[in-house]
Amino acid sequence: MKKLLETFCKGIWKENPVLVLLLGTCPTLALTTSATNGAGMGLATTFVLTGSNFVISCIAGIVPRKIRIPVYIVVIATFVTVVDLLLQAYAPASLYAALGIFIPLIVVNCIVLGRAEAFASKHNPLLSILDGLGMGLGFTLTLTMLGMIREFCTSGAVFGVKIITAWTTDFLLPGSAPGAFIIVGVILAVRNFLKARAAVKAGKVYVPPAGLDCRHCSICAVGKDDK
Amino acid sequence: MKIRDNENLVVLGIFLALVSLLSALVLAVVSNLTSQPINDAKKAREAAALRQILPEFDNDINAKAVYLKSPAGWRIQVRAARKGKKIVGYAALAVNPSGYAGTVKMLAGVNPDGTIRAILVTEQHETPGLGAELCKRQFSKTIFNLTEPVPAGLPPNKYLDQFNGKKAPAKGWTITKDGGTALYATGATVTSRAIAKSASEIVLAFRRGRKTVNRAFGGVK
Repeated sequence: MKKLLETFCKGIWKENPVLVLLLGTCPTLALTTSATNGAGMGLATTFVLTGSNFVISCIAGIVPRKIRIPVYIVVIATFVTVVDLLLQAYAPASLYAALGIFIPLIVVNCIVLGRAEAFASKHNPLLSILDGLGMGLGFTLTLTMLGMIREFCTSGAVFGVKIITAWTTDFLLPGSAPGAFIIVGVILAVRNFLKARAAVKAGKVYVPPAGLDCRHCSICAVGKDDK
Repeated sequence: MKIRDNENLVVLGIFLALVSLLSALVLAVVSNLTSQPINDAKKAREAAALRQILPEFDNDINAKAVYLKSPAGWRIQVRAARKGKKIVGYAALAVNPSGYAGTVKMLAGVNPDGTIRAILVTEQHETPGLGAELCKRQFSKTIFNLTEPVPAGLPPNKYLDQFNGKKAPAKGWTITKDGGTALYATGATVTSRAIAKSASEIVLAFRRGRKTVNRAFGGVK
């Protein structure tokens, strides 16, 4: 039971796909221009991720290792197309209008393939479903938060509702991809700062996520000497 | 030997082909099951869009359509809306191939005198948040009117409404950045251009194809 809960919860903060694993950066930067878009992309991805995780964990045992990636991609693409068709046919027009543009993009979202390869292919279907739900939820929450920040900084609105009515001219930087990079960078820095401080307080050595520490970054030379 | 460890290219090829076949089968079944509902949903969306851009009409607007050739060579579909015998407006559909990301489909209600009554963008793949915003019609909500009911009618959009009732210049509207008069949005220049171009092509096609329209629908002087 504890393991089930852990599998579900790790995607939300401990192994958050956007902020820790740095997966799915493309939709994160491109589609979080508003809170609604962020939430929409997050939910659509959650659905596909859960489904593809389940199917892949079921078939992983019989897929030859050499061609597992193409097989996973076929499974994911099939899943996405089915979801797309079902939404077009049965979802209310307003929901499809809001989500429709994101659906095809999910195929190329590396969270889905990443979780298929890193988790679903090595765990049982139940755990894989929980992993998909947890990762999806973490992705949705992060994208929604990012969307809210960007939308507010662009036009003073959140979820399409103007909070500051006097804000009439849009400020374009936060709404553009470079602005998204800056905001994601700030959030990552804050998250790492909090983690580092918590680790120091607990008297432990802080180990940043792989690739995000000073040793792996080539921008400045700090920490290069003690390699 | 287990299939997982198989490295024989032929076996792998057959496996991949089988997976693809299975996937194609699933897609064929789902596509078959959903094609009718998808068509119905599309028709319902279209009908709702026509009601928004045209004055009240009571004929079967899809009964007859003519195609006008626009100055840029697009085929613009024209249907007539009547109330009783009288033509109250036309629905013109223009497909602009040069949006920022693919085609931009514009449905315009055209007055009997050939000016634009209202424009809707019915299909587009522009950048969410930038270009897509120009094509959207949505009532702006603030925290002060959040609980009020949404007003009836077509939500305003200054980029789409700017052509309403206006006479187009001889070569059509261009955006101010290109030396014309049409509004454009920074960061969405290509989309702005596409909207101005589509609106121009519709109006100019009507100007040129007046005779064709009159012949087809027995129309207006």
